[in-house]
Amino acid sequence: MKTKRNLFTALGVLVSLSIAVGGWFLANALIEAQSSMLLSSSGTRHMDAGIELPKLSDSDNDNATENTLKAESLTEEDILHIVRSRYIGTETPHEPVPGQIDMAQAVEICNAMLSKLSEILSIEEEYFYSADVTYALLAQIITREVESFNPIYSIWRIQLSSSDFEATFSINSVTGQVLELGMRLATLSLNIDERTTAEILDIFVSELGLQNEAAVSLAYDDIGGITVYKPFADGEAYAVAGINEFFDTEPITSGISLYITDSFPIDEDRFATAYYENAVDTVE
Amino acid sequence: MRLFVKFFLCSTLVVSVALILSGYLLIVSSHESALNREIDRAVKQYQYDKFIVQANLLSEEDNLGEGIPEGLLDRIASNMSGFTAFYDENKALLYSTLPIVTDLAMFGEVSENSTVYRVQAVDGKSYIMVCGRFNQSGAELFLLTASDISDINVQKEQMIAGFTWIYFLTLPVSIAMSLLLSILITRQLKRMNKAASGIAHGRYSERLHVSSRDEIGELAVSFNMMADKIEEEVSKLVENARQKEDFVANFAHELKTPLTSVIGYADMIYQKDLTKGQIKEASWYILSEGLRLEALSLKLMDLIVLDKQDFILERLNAEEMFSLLAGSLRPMFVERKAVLHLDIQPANVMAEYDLFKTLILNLVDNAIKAGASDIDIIGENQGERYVIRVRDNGRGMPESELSRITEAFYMVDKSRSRKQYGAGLGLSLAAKIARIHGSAPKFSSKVGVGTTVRFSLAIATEGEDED
Repeated sequence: MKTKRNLFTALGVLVSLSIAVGGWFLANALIEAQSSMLLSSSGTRHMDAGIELPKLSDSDNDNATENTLKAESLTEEDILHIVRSRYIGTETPHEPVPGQIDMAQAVEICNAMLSKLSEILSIEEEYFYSADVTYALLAQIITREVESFNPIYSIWRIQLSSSDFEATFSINSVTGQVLELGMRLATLSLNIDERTTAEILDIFVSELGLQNEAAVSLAYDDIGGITVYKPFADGEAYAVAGINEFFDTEPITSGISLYITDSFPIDEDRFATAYYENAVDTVE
Repeated sequence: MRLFVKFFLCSTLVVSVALILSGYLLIVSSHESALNREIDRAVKQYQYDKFIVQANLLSEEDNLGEGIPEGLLDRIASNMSGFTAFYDENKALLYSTLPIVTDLAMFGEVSENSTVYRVQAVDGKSYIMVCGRFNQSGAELFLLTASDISDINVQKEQMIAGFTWIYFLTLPVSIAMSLLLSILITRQLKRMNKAASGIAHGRYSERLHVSSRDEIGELAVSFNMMADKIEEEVSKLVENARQKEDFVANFAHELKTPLTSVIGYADMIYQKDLTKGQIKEASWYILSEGLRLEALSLKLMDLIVLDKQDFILERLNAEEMFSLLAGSLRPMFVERKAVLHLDIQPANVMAEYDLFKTLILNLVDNAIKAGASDIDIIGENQGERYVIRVRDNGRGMPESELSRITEAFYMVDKSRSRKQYGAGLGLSLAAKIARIHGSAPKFSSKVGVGTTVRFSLAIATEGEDED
């Protein structure tokens, strides 16, 4: 009886240890099998890298025009959302959907803007002719507030550059409005004054449909740059234009910036020399 | 198989299966998540790269009339991250930095609105291939990018190695702990087994030490309660057996003693020529022992009858009842030159008159045999019970005898009792009758002073049967 019991005990121990050790080998084998299956997988992604774009039928694709999305100009809320989401969301590139401008159209808008600027700044148009498109990206910032794709929030970022200048544009993909411009002119010195800067701001604000009765303010920074700005959306945001000259390079280089910001655009440490609030008379 | 072995093996199995399952699930889901993240990243990167290609082609728009210029794709690829390949609309290779051979079947799945990805393993490395088609400035191209994702395999191998360490370290520890736990639990059961075995072998005082408040502790408490009960019942049985043995022994002795005298004297009359006076004396002894046997048998009959019958108690008036009793006892008192004093409080009690009369008769008879000349019967209404005390001024009994005086055939002074035809059954009878009436007689006595017997009757409530 005792021998039978000891036999069962020994058998039980053997079975348990077999399961314990064998189980490890089995788990390994299953992991390898699963891994092999995963590492030979394939799939298809529709047009984009993660966001769900509206799935239009073929007839929709044929009939789509710039007016499909029925937005000719961004609202102040749209502009504010685009500005605020820049640093808090996930940039997701995608292909243009019907109703959005393509890369070629975005580049044309950039060139048109450069043409206007050349007129105001008295630069010869040919200065900008030799530029190449060195960067292009259509992307939307996906945030917690707007989790699904909305074409109105997609932005083309286009960089044009040549040996003489480099300009980076942010253009709304539906309305074609320029939301931001940063330009460095490597071989040109600009004659900047308050009036010129205000004119540039005016073009920017007109393009965006942000004209209002608010006064333009200006500030001078301590390296000779001029910044003019105008509030909108009840003071929640500012349209800003700035022109600088950089005297530490040879030849002297210049920079132009146009942008929207939801914070006060003047850094009082930098703009210490002079600061005029509501300086309407000066710039009119 | 012993319980502790079963317990230990089960817990080992459970721990090992749980560890293996959780390790497997963790590693597989982690590997899958990592791969999905890499796929997302590769597809996203493809999009960035595609825009770079399109931008470059847009810039060279004027030069694309006769195909893509020499060196352009090389220049474009140098601005892109990862491995790249370009194919024309006929799937002919234009440029490639891919480390692996492309499966052109992928191109068939590509459409204008979608990209295709495929995971491929080559020479121990893994790549995600992303393929798409586009048209820019008149140039139609297939763009193929490849990202090296071998790192996720390295990560997987590291996780497996980590899991292996954890598993083969945890398993022996859990084996040791489950063995210890099973031994601790079954040790308590072994102690219970030993105690139960001791009780089975007659060691009724065996008890368990209760050292915890868990289920084992509760079992130990229950075991001890059971052992207490067993010990108590066994003691009662032993006592009953002893009493029965004593009863039989005493009965045999009480029977033998008078029979010996009867046979002896009868034989004497039969065998010898006796004078008339001798014959008369012998006959007297025969008669006297015969009477004693008769008294013994009558009392024995009463005892047996009391055991076998159910008695119904009636509502009786205490004063009337004792008055009747006193009347029937008067001849005995006169004959024995004793005096009965009654002090009875009014009350209605529940009693069986004939039995109650027998009880009082036996107590009074006992008192007279003990030499009492004054006997008091006191009845007190104490609310719930009617307490009766029978007090005499007889010779009394030592305290040490009081616990046995209600045993059948027990006599404090055997020789004196036998002279008075006593068999030692009177108080046994009285105690039994008192129990039928819901009471137990309590005896208090002092040698040379007297004895008091105390018992009680139930007070009759409204609605119980009238006499």
